[in-house]
Amino acid sequence: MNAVEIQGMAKSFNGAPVLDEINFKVRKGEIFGYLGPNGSGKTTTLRIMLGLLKPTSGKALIFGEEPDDSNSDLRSRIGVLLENNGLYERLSAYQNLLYYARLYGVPESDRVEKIERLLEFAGLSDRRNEKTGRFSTGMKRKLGLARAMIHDPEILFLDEPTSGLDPESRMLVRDLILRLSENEGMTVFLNTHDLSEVEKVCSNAAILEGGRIRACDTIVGLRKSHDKPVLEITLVDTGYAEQTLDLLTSQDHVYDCERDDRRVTVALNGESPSTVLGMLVTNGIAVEEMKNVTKSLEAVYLDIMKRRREYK
Amino acid sequence: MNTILIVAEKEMNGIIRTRSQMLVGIFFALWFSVMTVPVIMTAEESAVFDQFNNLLFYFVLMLGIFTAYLFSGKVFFNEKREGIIETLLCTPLSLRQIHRCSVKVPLNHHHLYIQ
Repeated sequence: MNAVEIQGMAKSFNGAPVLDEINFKVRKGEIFGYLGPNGSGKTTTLRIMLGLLKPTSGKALIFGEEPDDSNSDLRSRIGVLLENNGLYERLSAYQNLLYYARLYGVPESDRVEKIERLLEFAGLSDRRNEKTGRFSTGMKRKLGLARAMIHDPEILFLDEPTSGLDPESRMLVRDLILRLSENEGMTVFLNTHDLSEVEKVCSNAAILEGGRIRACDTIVGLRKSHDKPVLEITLVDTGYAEQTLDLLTSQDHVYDCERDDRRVTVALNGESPSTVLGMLVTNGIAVEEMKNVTKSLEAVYLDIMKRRREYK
Repeated sequence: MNTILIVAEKEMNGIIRTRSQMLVGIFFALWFSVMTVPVIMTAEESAVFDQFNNLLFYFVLMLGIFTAYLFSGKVFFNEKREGIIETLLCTPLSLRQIHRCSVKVPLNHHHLYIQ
């Protein structure tokens, strides 16, 4: 059984469509990245999956069930970290975790040990009795994440989990997500803008734009399906770089071309790198180095967005 | 423990720890105690005070219910403003249960003052 299954889901607000024909599946134990620009409908999808909104048509199934208000058993299997952290600012870090542990029915014998462990993870062991209202954004985010995991959920829905975190904490969260998936078989649904994060932790991803899924595959598959040969050419000096940029942008077989100081990055439409090199040499351009580069997920994402803009 | 009681306990602690809400409660408790003194002292003599006594009873009741809804509204407003209500709705609690807790607790709060 899939952990998440979205079937032909659509949502409109006052007749304005926000989501259209959304279909994807998340297998158990998978870390799934849900990517998209602002306003693309990511949070709306998440809210429908959590039963906070009803879809206009289609279905969102979590472990084969619809997460509505009456399905408390299903909701106790889900951990959620939304945009806000779900913390009571007048309560201390410890009290917040204790409150949620009791709400989720964590056995009394396990509560203290679990809370201690999660406070340790969040780096808040020594500030456990401080009111969360006094915490920084990053501290609240980490505590929010700890709160979402208090009942050892089977699936974790995370909305921008690393926003507001410093690089060290980001790494900590990434490691935790990977560990949860690998060691405990937890499914993680990651709603994020951070492409490097998705690339590092997710096995599969969907790219949403304008309320529709534009691509959905494994990370490797996404790279391959949108891959074009990309060359990184380092020129002897900046004058040659400028000349190279002018020369290549006018070529039909060049899909994209960017310059950064002495370096020019070129995406080709099927042309071989040797043709490009020949062209440069013929035009008297001194090349220091030329190499093939693998396209990052970020490049794939930007490529999809660019194509969409051109299509419009 | 019943989830409603868990939320109720948290709300009750919240009210007790909120200075403004406690002060409002203490003010009304003292105010009605002072107002009741002449009624008790002259209870056997005057029919007017008897009527006043009855009116006061209903007034206190109405005021209590009104305050209870005010407090429950405040709890809901704060949870909505801070975005906690969405997280709560993802827990095993239903919207009806959250609402029941928010109304029940201020009513109990009011009963404490009456007592």
